[in-house]
Amino acid sequence: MKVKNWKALLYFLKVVCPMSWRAVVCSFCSSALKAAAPMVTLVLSSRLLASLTVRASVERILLDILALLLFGTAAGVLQALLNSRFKIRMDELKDNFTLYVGKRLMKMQYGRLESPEVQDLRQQALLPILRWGNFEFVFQEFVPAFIGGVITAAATIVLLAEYKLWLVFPILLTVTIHLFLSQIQNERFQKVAMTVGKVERKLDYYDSVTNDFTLGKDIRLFRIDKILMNKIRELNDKEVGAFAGLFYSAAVLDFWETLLVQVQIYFVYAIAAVDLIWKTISIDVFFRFTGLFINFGNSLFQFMNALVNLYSRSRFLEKFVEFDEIPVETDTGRECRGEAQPVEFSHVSFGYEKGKEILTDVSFSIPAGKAVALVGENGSGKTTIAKLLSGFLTPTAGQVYIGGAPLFAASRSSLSAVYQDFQLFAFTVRENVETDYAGRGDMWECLDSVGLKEIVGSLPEKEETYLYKSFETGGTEFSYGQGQKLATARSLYKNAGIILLDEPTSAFDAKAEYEIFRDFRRLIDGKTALLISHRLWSCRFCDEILVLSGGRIAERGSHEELMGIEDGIYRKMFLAQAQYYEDSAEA
Amino acid sequence: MKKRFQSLSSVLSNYRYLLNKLYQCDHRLYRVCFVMIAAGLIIPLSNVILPKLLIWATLWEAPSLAMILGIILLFFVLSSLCNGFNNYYLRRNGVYLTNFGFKLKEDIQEISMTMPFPMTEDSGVLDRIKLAKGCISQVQSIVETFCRCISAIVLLVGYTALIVRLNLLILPVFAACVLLDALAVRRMEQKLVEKRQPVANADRKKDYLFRTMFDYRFGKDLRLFRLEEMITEKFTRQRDEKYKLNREMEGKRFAAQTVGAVLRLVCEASVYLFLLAAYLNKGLQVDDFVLYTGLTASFQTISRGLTADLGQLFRMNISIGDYRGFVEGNLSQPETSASGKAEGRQITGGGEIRFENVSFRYPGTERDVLCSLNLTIEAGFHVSLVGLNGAGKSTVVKLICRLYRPTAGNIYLDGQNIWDCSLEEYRKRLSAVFQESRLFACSLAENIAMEEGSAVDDRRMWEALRAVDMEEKVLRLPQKEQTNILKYLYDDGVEFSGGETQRLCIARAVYKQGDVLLLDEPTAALDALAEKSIYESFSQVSRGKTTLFISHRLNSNRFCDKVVFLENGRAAAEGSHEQLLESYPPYRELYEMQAKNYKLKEGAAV
Repeated sequence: MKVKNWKALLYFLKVVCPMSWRAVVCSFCSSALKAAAPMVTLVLSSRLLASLTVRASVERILLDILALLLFGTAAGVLQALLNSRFKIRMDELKDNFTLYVGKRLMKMQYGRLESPEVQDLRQQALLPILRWGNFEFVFQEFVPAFIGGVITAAATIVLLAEYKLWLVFPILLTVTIHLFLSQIQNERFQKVAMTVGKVERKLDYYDSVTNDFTLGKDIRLFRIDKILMNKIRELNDKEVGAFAGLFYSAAVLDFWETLLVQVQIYFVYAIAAVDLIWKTISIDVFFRFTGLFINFGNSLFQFMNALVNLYSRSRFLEKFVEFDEIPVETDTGRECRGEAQPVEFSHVSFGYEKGKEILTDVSFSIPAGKAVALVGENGSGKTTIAKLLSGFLTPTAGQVYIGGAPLFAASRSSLSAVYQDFQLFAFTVRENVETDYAGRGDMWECLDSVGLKEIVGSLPEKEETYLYKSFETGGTEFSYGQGQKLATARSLYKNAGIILLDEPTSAFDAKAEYEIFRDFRRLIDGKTALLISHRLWSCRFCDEILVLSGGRIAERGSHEELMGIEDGIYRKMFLAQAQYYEDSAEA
Repeated sequence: MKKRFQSLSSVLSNYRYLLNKLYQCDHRLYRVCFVMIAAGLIIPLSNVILPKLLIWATLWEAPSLAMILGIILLFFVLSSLCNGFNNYYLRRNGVYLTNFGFKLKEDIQEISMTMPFPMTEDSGVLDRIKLAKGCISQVQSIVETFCRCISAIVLLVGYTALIVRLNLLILPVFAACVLLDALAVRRMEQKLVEKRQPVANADRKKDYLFRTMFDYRFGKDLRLFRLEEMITEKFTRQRDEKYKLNREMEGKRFAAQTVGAVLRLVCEASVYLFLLAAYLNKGLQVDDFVLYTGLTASFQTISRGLTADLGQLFRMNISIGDYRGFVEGNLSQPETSASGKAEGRQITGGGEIRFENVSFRYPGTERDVLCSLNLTIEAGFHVSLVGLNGAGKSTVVKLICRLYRPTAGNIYLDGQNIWDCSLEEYRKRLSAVFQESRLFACSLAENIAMEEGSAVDDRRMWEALRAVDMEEKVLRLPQKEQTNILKYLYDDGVEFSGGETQRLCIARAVYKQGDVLLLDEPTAALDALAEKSIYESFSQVSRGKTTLFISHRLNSNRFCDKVVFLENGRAAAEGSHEQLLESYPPYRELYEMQAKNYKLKEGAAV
């Protein structure tokens, strides 16, 4: 165990323990009792044995029996009590920790959150700790083993001070050998874990495909199940093969290690037996000493195992430290600003990696209360601009200004949006629409303006009906199109001065789409708006159209101006969409 | 009373089912179980007998060192072999059980993909799958617990036989204590089962809330609408709810354990009383005293372990039941074996589809989505199906694909009822591209052909790629058609743009060479230029095939032979695009809404 592993563990404990000191106390008491009880039982039963062998008085023997029985029962009941308290507190502690991690994730800058580094940390730190049993390991295996080991060692040394204390050393020797062998095991495991990790990722992916019911039609029509099951079976066999090689050699190692433990135990017996025969000790002392030594050996083994296990898992703890050190946005604003403000992008460049720029030197401004449309091919950077405007990403060069001031997290309070990959939550319809801004507006009016008033009105609990079934099993399902309408209602409800719409009608039918954009000017009346859309006709509602190509603004102007550019990108795209409608213009 | 016996027989049946499956999967597992049971018998016994023998040896007049060391050596060998092999096989068992777990999971996965389609739109099914998969992680635990129980039961019987030699009265005392303890535990388990649903609810809610915090896809809206506080508050509420439930459950558990401790006290006290009497009056030796106390102590430990293990087995029985219920239930009837004559008559013909008075409503709903729909798609025709959201367009496609069965009326392909032939043969004639169609993480060729690499018909594949104008692009890739898709899983993986992905999905449909082509909103997510090129692929690809085309955008209707306007579950109007524009006002209205804004002559918008 290296120093950094201990540091990571201590850091982790320092973060977690204050969340529930009761859990810590329970853990300590429970482990202490668990360690002490066997030793006390040993001492008491050896006293009984002594009374029997020297033929003490009946009262004496009865007393010894009583002591043994009562202690056993009391310890048992107390242990059960502590265990149950411990379990309750442990659950609570884990929940608190989960919330802590969740809050950090929610407060992180979005750009960090979706970055590969943080996604990696999710896989390498958060999931292992929260879902793969490592949290339980630390508090239910390691800490008890640690405390138990310390208490047992201390008590044993005190109790055996007068006897052959040197026997401790052979025990330590066997434990050290065991430690050494475990290290070898672990290293082998780590190597296999690398290959197996890749296989498991693929298996997880295929498993999620089997579960993905949106693919249900394709799977049945193209019999995709055949090729998928083939791949899954192949991968499963590969994983078992990798494990087999490892586990079989581990089994052999296990056998020899077990033998080592037995040697240790019976060696102690033999040494003590010699003294027994030579009458230097009585039979009760024989059992007391052998019992305590063997108990000490067991406790030491457990402690060593826990240590070895911790070492092999310490990578998760180190990754957790990395995660915890990621800064969070503290000032995220409170007041929602309803008045329209100007937006300006000034020489903004952005790229996730050096040398791979998505946006290069983008400059434009949206005067307060005006609407600007952003068009371009897929991958041209439109979504990136949406994220920059929302403060989710920080430009690598240049600056975004809102109302003349540089954009920072709190500016988000002046912004409302419907993103292309919007998400609704499995809460009530009302909670989804009002979000944190309850009271700011009229929910029914917003629902009406997107055409959802009737549908919501006809739900069993109207606006208190839950969406989807993930939270409440009795929730109602909304189609994607209805969901998009709800997301639009949500963004309208917030009534912020700046509104961003990224493909807001992709799932709407022609009628609904027409109605939304017909009311577009009314909906965004007085607000500063940025519209991203593939449906070029919808851009004609805006005061200016920006054409993004290859990360730069290639063309800008009104619809007429852009159509006037020979061989212009906008003109090409517009004609491509229009050509099929063209003759109706003549009709 | 009756309820308890019912559940007992179901428990036995489930375990018999599981053990059967285990044996079928790997015979070696049985060998391992045998070793574990044997070790479970010998080790506790030797721990009890060793002290007695040692003391017995020292009670001799002239105790010999050789004899004592001999005893120690004997037990050393016995213990080493038992423990050694036990651990050896336990470790090997891990491999066998992992393999077994995989096989169980494969069954579930296969069923998930072949079960009747209506199940995929039932959210309860997803829950059942999750529960069934929950069983798999417990398989190792189940087997080990089971073995422990068997050796425990044998040991307890043996112990009782030995202890009773001290005094026959011990037997009723022990029997009563064991029975009462078992009853107390069973009662506790039953009460805990009541809490299972509320706990599952709280856990599900917590899991969902955690997902919203954890999954970055929620991140943007969460930050924009300041949902952090709402989610935190909901989470703490669930945490407190879980805490309350835990307290109640642990309270019950503790009560049962206290009862157990008291009963144990009674047992041990009675044995000690008899021992004392025998020691004082009948000359019981110290070694036998120690033997009997050792047996009693071991008895207590083992019986405690047994009740806990039995409780575990009962709890895990629920998981086994979940798995078995899913695998053996009617869900597991794959569609391919279900309806129709298995060896069906093959339907041959040009691919004319006819809906005759078809009505349909989704299971569990009250409104008919399709009402006596009459629709004909003539062989080789390109038909466009239009209508507002919810009019039933996608439902028509699902019915054609035989994913759902009409609640009334019939569907005919080339004059034959589509439900009258084998499902596999029928679906062979269909090709489709859906809005959700996507590529999978395997090679490009496998994605197109949906077959293992060796079975791919290269000529067909390249033809398909050519038909969608992707041949050149694929040839330019370093590994051409063997390129792996998805960077997520392959270091050398390739990602395609939205438009290219859809084109490859169309190529997949082309490869299948179905006579009927179904295109359901495949360009919704594409930009104008990509959409245009896809439309061009469509006309190439659907030449000569019966095609049904669904889209919100009406601009493609000009190329279709017939347009059907679906309204309130009926074909409200049909005819060519021009005919409908003239004769059916709602259609004209819908079209104008979109077309108006593309008028080049007038620059003004609506």
